[in-house]
Amino acid sequence: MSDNYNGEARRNAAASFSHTGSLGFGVGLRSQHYPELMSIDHDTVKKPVDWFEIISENYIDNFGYGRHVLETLRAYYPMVMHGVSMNIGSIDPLDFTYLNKLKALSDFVQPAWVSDHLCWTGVAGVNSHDLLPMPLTDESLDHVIRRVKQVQEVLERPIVLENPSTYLEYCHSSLSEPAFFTELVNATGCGILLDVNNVFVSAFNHGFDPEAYIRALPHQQIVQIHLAGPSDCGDCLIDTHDQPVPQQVWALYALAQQLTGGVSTLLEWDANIPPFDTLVAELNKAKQVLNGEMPVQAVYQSDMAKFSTPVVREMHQNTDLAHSLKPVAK
Amino acid sequence: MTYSTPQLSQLQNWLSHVLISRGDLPEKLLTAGQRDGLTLEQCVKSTPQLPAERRVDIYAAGYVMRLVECLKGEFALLCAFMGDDVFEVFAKAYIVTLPSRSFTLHTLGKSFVSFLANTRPQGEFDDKQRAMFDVPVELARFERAKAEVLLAEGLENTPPAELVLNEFELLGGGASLNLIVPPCLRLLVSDYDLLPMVEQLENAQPHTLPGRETRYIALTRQNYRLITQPLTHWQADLLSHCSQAMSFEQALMHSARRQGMEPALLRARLAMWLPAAVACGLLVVERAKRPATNTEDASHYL
Repeated sequence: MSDNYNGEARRNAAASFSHTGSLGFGVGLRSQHYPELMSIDHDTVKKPVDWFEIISENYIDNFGYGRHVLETLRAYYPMVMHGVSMNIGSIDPLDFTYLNKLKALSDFVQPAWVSDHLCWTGVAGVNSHDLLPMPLTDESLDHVIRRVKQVQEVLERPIVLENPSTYLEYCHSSLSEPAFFTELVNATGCGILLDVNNVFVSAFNHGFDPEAYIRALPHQQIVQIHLAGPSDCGDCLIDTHDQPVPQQVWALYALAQQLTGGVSTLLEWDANIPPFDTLVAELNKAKQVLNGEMPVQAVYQSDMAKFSTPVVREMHQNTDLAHSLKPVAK
Repeated sequence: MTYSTPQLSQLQNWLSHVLISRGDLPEKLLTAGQRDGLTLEQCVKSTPQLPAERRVDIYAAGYVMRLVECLKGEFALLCAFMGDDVFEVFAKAYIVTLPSRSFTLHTLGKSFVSFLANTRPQGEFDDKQRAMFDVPVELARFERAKAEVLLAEGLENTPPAELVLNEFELLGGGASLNLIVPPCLRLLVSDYDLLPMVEQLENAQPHTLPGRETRYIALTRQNYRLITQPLTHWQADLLSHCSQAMSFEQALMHSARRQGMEPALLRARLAMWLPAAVACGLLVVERAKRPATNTEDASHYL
């Protein structure tokens, strides 16, 4: 990255995202779908989706079949890297080992952009592997602004940050999340990954108006929208990523697309992962929504204990990697 | 009551301690409060619909459950062997005792084997009791090795010439060759005949507790498939030496000395075994010097 990145390039970050244009409609690349995706002749068959999003950490230090699938698919599909361990809001020093590996993966994948979450994942070296909410204060804002600038220097590109689902708010928060995002993108040129399901979940849990939240964001900096299905656990909504998208989330999606003028759409489904064609059918509902047809789908009611942010991990047993016990040659 | 605004560092340390401390939620809050000087009501907003305790518990319970699920994925056979309830007891204890310090979940299970080994009961036991305590450790070691093999640099992009031997090379028992172990090789020594039970568990068949017999096992990968190869003692010993950054000839001499065997005898045995060893990815013929690769993990089980 040139030395003057924080000058002109940052001011033009919004333009750099807009030049990328919408990638269309994509899904998260999950190992459960590797066999089907690798059996498709991508040269001749109509592509089932427009693009894929990968979980960055699943492919860092992974030189197995997952890397091979990634290398194969990136030749045919635009890719986006979405991370869960940048720990951008933490008081811990930035993990430059991680950032350098992220940069190396980015050089390999050549993604349209690299994203993570407006959150912290741990302190004192511990990683909770959860997306913990930031106190929305001036101190936090200054801290995150400094770190986003550092990360963008390492990655040599503006990053994109997602609004996480949250279950708690801090007593002393003094900014709304849209206000925090607005200040952040103005200061750093980073983009926003708007997860409309997370807005729905957090709005229910904290009692704010989800439409007002979306209207208050700086829409020109929204690069991508996430869709997912949560679970209603009675007293709260949990971001389980294991259900069809409910109609309330589709309504927020329609609003967000109207306000942004149309940005890339991605469906996340990370637990109880359905067959690939079911996933694509759910994704394609987004196209119906943009044509004014609103799906009818209630929020899934659950009486079981659920946890948020399901781990998206390479599941070797679900690939075609047959275990082979060979006779020994004495 | 109003409180002064805690600093970002104080608040993050407090919530982190709530998550990773032992005990139920009141115990966690007590521990975090004593360490960081904050209380729940100072930090977290409460509503009639969702009290602050419940809000924090979503994170505290989710932290453990999420990582237990991750361990179940990596140690699926061990979980089948132990049963869900017993596995979860050990998994939760492991997560609380050794919180993850890595950006990746690939390493979450790295210390699970030693954790299980260190928490085995001590005392005098009969063979069956001893097996009940030892076999879970052996099974976990096998599954951890398998996870590492599937992620390591493999042989998939290795030139075909490095995966076969010609007759002249064989006649020399590898003397003219530089044979190296691939980065995806892991060597295990087990006090139990583990592999039949592994196969039973993989096929969801009723399993039988393995007998106490020393077994040597190599795990490697070919065309992204896991290869599990039983070895004899001399084969395992030779591969172990090969993984220690010495030339193949040096490895052969060291291994012969350690086994009290004439090098010529080892070379003769090797001539019979080398084609199979190279063909199934235990050794690679290094025909041109390649950049150093990390093989340190290959031998640490032996």
